Amino acid sequence: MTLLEVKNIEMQYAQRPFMFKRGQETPVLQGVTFSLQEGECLGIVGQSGSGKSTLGRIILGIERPTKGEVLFQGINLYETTSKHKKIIRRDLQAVFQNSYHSFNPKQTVFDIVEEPLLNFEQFSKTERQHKVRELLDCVELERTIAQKKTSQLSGGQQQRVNIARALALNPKLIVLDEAISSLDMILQKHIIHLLQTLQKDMQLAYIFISHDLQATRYMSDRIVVMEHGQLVEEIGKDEAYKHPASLELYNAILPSHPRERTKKFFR
Amino acid sequence: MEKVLEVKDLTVKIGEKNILTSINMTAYKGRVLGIIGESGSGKTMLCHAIMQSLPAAAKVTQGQIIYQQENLFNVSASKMRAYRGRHLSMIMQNPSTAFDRIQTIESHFRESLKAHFVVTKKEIRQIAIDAMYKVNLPNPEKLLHYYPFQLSGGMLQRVMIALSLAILASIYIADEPTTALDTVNQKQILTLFDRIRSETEAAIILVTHDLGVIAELADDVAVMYQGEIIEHANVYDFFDAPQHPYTKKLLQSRIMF
Repeated sequence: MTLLEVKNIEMQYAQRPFMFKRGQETPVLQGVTFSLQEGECLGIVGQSGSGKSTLGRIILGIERPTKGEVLFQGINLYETTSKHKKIIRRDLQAVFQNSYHSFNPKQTVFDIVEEPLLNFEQFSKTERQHKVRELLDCVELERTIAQKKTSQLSGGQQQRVNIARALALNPKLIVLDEAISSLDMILQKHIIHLLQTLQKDMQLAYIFISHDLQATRYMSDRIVVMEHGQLVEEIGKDEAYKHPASLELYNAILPSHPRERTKKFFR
Repeated sequence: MEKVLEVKDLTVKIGEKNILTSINMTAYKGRVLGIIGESGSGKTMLCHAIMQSLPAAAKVTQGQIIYQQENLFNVSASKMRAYRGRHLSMIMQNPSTAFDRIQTIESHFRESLKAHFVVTKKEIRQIAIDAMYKVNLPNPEKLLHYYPFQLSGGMLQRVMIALSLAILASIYIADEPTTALDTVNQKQILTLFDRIRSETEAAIILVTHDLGVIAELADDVAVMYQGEIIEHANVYDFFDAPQHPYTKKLLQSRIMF
């Protein structure tokens, strides 16, 4: 079943006229169309400035596109009543790159993971405690961490708290915007495996936004490549790349062994 | 192989805690020494120790850093100041805090060039444009008049690399130089480093947590774990026959297809 449909999105950032400067309109996205099935993982790759993150924000309903519509479970995100929107919010969650900045530094881990439950569920205190513990187990964090502040955690632990918070309401879609880019390799692999297990267990769909083609390819069922605000290529997991923009990304993958190094200037 | 910099038995403490424990390593002319380790393993502290810019709380309890037959810990402050930037150049990890936000890019170049050379305004401009052209920045002439906050993180990182390349140093210490960049730019910067070390014979100490970067560029690898170098090997030996269990775990974490 189709979970998300993005139709002909256009986005422009307007610069207001100021003093002697004329206002300008910078196009960021042009004619972006794709759809996502339930339980599918779609990768969005592209260089920085290609509009991937803006697209992610539009899908999440944070930024209103200039033209086009986003249908989540058949409901247009930008033309609903706020009551309706609240229901959609449950099923639509996000994990961003810089996890530390998406937390309130005064809250403990318990408070952070509990917050969506307070907002959406009519749970008693013990039920909430039980659920938070369950979620922390789910992302393989120790229960003792619950009383700590986020500033006391390492980057990987923070990112896992972020995932636990996104999972709290059993969503249908999680948008992962550069969610693993800032982590070291051991943690990256760990989090990717964690996300894959969770996907199977909970029938989640992901939109995995990254500039790292290798990780995206490992994670996704289908990849779309973006360049200058347009989707230039859509390929399955094992298909070859054809468009120059995707080939550029493909060639930038670093070797896994020094034997596979690219051309060298000497030696 | 000619030794450029040698770290001998270096131990650094903050309070009672060992931040670095008996570090031994050597940087050779025209070679890239990769230092790999997870966050918090002391990689950045080692860089600061070499640059003599450790935080005040850190105490060096033993060891030497030898550059041009001198122990850098015994060098006078004014001489060390002359070394920094001219002989030992550091490329920092975080571009947004390394710049002065009320100075234009041009005045950053002016400041670092004037500290070491007698140069005219015109020459500074030319050197800056050349250096920025090398790191693949668009419109270098225009960029000179920009302020750091007007550029994106990736562009600033490249400006910072250009700043340290404007002066030909004998050792470049690059602390996670490509972490903030996307993969295409990362590849370009690594190619640039490779060109520098073959053209100028500078030694490069490349600190990273990415095995791909090591595989692409490094000649020797030192693995840091909790303030110690647990493995020091040629890059081929490192990938083919890892010794330490942590290194094996690290190599297994590569995403394979």
